[in-house]
Amino acid sequence: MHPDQRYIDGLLSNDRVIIGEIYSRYAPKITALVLKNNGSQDDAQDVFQEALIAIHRNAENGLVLQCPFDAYLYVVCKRKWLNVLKKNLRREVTIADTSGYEGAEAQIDGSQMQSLLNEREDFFWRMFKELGEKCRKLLQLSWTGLPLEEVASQLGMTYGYLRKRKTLCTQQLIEMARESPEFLKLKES
Amino acid sequence: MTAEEKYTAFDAYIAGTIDDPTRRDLERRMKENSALREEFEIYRAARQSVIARSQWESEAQPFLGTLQELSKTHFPAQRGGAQIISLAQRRLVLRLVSAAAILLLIVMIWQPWQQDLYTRYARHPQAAFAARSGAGMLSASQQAFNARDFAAAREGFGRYLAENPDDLEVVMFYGISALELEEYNIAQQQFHTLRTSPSFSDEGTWYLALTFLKSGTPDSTRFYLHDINRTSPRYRDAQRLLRAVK
Repeated sequence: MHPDQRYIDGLLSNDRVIIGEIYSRYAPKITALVLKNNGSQDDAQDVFQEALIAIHRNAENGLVLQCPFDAYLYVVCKRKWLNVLKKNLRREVTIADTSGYEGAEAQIDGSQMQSLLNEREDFFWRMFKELGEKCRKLLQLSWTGLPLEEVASQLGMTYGYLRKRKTLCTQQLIEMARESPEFLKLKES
Repeated sequence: MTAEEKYTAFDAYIAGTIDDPTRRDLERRMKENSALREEFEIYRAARQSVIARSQWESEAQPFLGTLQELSKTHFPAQRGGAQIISLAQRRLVLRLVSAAAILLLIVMIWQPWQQDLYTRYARHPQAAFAARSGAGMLSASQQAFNARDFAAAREGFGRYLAENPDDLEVVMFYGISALELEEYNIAQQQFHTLRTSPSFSDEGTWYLALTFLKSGTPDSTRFYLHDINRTSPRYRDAQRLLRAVK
């Protein structure tokens, strides 16, 4: 176990001091990486935050660091930014990287990277968030297993109208996902 | 199999509550129809992803709150200030310019396109009034509406609404019937009534847009399409129609 395991433990326990240290020490390097590779300050913020979320979720499954935390974080951020660029440019891209962390990628095996990137879940979550609020509420409530009459009552709709709206919202979600160029890439992977 | 029956079967299959005959029928259909199979896989993946993510986000709220607070300190807001224009943004601008050129072309062939547009976008829901009091009274009107006999449907809905004026679902179908019969003033009144209700305001706005589209009033069509906000399930259709109407 690497001494930097404390960062993983800090993320898991929502330790504000440790998470603050992660931001202070490592956010500038990630910002430099993104800005150097066609990104903005806002992009850097998103990538950094999403990487910490991904690491947190992986940590819940018992992640044990075998390398320095900054290398691990850097590799995750780099891969996430690469995916954004590939999605926007719709072709293979490489990232200008003089960080010195090139060797760290080898330390994260394929299945770990897969679960860190969690592309499939991210994709469908993004599609879902593009639905309107009413659709999101309706689908989420119906997926909890509640009878549809109960869902209708909670949403202030008639049962018949709820059924129609649910069909419409489901069609919309499926159509958005299917029409997305990103979906094709996910199918191929 | 209607869309509603299909998605109901999907849900039951995923939840493991589907009965054997329906399961066998669905599996057979998916084996024969790859598009249906893909639709099912997309729906299943989306449902599983959303349930997993929602659950995680609900449990991790304090952690997400910490990230948001610290992000504000370490990534100061850049919006409105000098900022590197990213490659993605430049490509978006190019796409918008191309889209504007295409829209200009569409304007030049507006009139015959207009009626085709209405036909394409006027995909009315099926009427189904089973679970309410007075359902017997509506049964004939429901059948007439679904068979596109809008004159009979309008008459039946009108009689029902005389005794039950607050039933907004019936108001909607009454309005749609009037719209199809080109009784635009009556249709508009119903859809304006729907707009006063939080549950039906989206549909009311959408159908007002369609009413003006059918009656050949593009300015009013655009007005109501713009009024459909991002939270509405009609938003995407509204944006597509807006691009076509312009």
